Amino acid sequence: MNKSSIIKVLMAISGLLFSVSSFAQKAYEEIKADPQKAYGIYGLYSFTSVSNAIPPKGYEPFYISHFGRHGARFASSSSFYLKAHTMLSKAHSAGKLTPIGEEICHRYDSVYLKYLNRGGDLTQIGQWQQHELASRMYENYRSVFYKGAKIDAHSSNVPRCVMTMSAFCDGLKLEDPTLDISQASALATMYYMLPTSEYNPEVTSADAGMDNPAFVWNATLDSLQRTLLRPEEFFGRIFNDVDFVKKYGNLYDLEYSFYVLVATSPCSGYADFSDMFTFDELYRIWQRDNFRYYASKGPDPRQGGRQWAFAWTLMDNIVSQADQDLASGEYAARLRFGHDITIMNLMTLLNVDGWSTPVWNLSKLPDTWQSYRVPMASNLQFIFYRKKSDPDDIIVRFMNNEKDVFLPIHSDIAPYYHWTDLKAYCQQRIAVAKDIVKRTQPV
Amino acid sequence: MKRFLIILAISFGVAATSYAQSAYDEIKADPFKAGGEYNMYPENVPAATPAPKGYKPFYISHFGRHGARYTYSSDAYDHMKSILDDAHSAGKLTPKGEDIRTRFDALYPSVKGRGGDLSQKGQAQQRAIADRMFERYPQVFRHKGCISAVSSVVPRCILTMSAFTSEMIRLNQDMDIRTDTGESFMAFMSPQSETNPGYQKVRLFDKSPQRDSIDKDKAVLLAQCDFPAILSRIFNDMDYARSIKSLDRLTFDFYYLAVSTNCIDTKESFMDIFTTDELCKLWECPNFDVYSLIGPGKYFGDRQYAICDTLLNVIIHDADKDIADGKTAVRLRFGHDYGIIPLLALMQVGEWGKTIDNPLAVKDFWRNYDVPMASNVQLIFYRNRIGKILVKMMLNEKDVTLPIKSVTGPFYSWDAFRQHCIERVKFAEGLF
Repeated sequence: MNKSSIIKVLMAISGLLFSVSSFAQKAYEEIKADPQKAYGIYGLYSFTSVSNAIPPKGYEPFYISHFGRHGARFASSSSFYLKAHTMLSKAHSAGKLTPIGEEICHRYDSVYLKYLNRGGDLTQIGQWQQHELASRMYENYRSVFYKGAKIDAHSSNVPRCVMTMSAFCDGLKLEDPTLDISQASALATMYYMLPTSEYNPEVTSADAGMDNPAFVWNATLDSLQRTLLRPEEFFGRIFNDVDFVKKYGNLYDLEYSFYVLVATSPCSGYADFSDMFTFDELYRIWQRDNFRYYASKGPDPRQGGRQWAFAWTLMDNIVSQADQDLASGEYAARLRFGHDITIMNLMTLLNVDGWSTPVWNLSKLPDTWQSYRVPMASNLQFIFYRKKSDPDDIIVRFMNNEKDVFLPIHSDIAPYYHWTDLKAYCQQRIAVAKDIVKRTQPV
Repeated sequence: MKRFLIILAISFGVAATSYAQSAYDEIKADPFKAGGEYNMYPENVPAATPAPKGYKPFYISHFGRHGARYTYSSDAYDHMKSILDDAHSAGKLTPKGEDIRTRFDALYPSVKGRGGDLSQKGQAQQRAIADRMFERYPQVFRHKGCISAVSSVVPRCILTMSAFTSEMIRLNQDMDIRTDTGESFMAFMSPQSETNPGYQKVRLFDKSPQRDSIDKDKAVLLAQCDFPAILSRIFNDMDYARSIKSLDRLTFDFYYLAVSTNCIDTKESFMDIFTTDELCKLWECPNFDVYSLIGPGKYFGDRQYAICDTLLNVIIHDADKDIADGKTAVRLRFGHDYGIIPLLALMQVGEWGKTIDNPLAVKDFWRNYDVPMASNVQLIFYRNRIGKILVKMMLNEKDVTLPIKSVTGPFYSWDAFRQHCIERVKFAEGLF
């Protein structure tokens, strides 16, 4: 038995440690309270609560550095919709649907044209989310957006991100048409806008994507889904012959296609399929998906930190642009529009709320790390304040989805940080990340 | 002279069916036209032809090309960098060549990796076009209907749409603007897409006997160009230059550098590499390429432009629906030159659909520099009290003619215009 197969066995065992009966309480309760969270990264942004910390006396916001995920979209690929549609239609013709299945088939059929070939596209709800976020940013930090303020916006070159940027900037323009906003989308910036992409010279073919066969945690994911999921039960409610379903592929993958259909439907609002799964089924599928993101883009020890460490390029961009802008006073805000995995990378890099803690016992994972913190339109915002009587006295608040989050650095003004402390911390984490990338770079 | 030409253009009102001036004369008056589709959008456009008495504009249907952009691919910049660096190291550059290298090196960091991206100039072009649309047809925007915009999925087109629509928001914050993009629109937004069934049948970008014939006929145009004379300004050793690649291809590397640099946000220009005479002759080659590949060239039996029947169909269907329900006042579409050129050919606008046998004569009827960056087609619909509808069509905000009888000046009855379009779509469908 060679070393790699020993590792594989160990990983499989660690997966089995995930006992399905011992639900991790925190995530379970949170999802109970807001079922959108069971849709993980497909969930809709919650606009209900915002942190309204009152800044220490005498400070005023003057600069914002932001990274936002694109707004609500259709499934990442049209193939999820096509698969579910083909299976239902064929089963309908073959008399293989249960009465529940017939009703679902009919419901899906009546809206299918609106899903057809729309994989990856931003929806109208996705645009509305950005208008809303822009308007809230404008209202909450009026002093940043003075008349004619210069704002720089960059997006990933993926169309939904360009559309997201455009919608956000339109949201600001609606508040104040005099704002001087420049928008750009360039492959030349992708090495930091999407640090885990092939455009980053440090990324190799074994690092890229979400379902790369080279990923060392694939075996764990496989054993985890066998422990957690019961696709026969799910399909048994819709199809009267599970063998018919099996003709279309692996039951786990097929169930995931239906999950994606259910989870992304609120993003377009064309139909509601939330009754297709039971709450416990959704919770289990979410756990599987949560592991996938945690293992791939978070602090899972199996990948040695290599994935999140790539995001040092983005952290470096945020810090160096802030330095430049604070010195020149030229830009009032830097807006960036990209993807969920980059927000996960950055939250792990910064160890937001303990997000860089590795979890070996996967049954505990949902307590530490939740993919639903990065829903559609999710964002990170650094809001810079300065003391009116001493402009060199700069403090920063840092938010995930407009709520203050905690970093492992001392602050006498929490949830605000002195920029000098925060910057030193960011630079230290950049150094750690660079070192990880270097150490794990294949020769 | 320029002013005289503008007055001349205005006095003709409707663009003359054949060009009043030779292409060479036009390029001599404005050498940037030699850039063909890299030509910049005109800064002065004629005033709008007044609406016929009793008619008011109420609906606009538009198809616009993205604004000015960087060169066609980032590789082109990297490749130019290595050509100049290698020649420099080998001592093969003339003093002029060294000067070009120094200037290119200064520019390089700002263009590296930017191939295909919209420039700031490109965004400004869209704002200017939006401003004029808003100012010239205010009645359309007073209407309660929404503005519906769709773009090609290519980022520069989405950014183009964004520049246009955000300018509309600046002009009026109450407008209901809806934007969208996605692969599902590409069959008409970019007719050469795999999703367009017509394109599947005439794979223009693949190697084919037709492509070989185009290359064969183009030889006469290449033969007009004195490549050694141009390149000897840059390289001191023609054998060395030949060892890089064929002299014509090497010259065109410099041509595209020169004409694309005008489109980006720099004061640098490489147009000094060429004389105006050289530019005229060089221009004829890509002009012929585009004419043959997506214009009315004889090689693909009209199918090369007929594939944009998807777009013409959408324009007609949208208009039918929007006129009937009044919900949409403006349809904006943001795509590529490869959408506009076949559309002009299919609709038989001016001479854009005319097939010319002699490659040397193409320039007399067909000039790609009239589809510059930000180029656009606009159909302006007018209605009178009794509901009669007239339409005028503009290319780059200048009225154009179609081979149908007009009611007055550039104004056609919508019925006749629509009928012509439907016949052209049928003609296109018949080819496949």
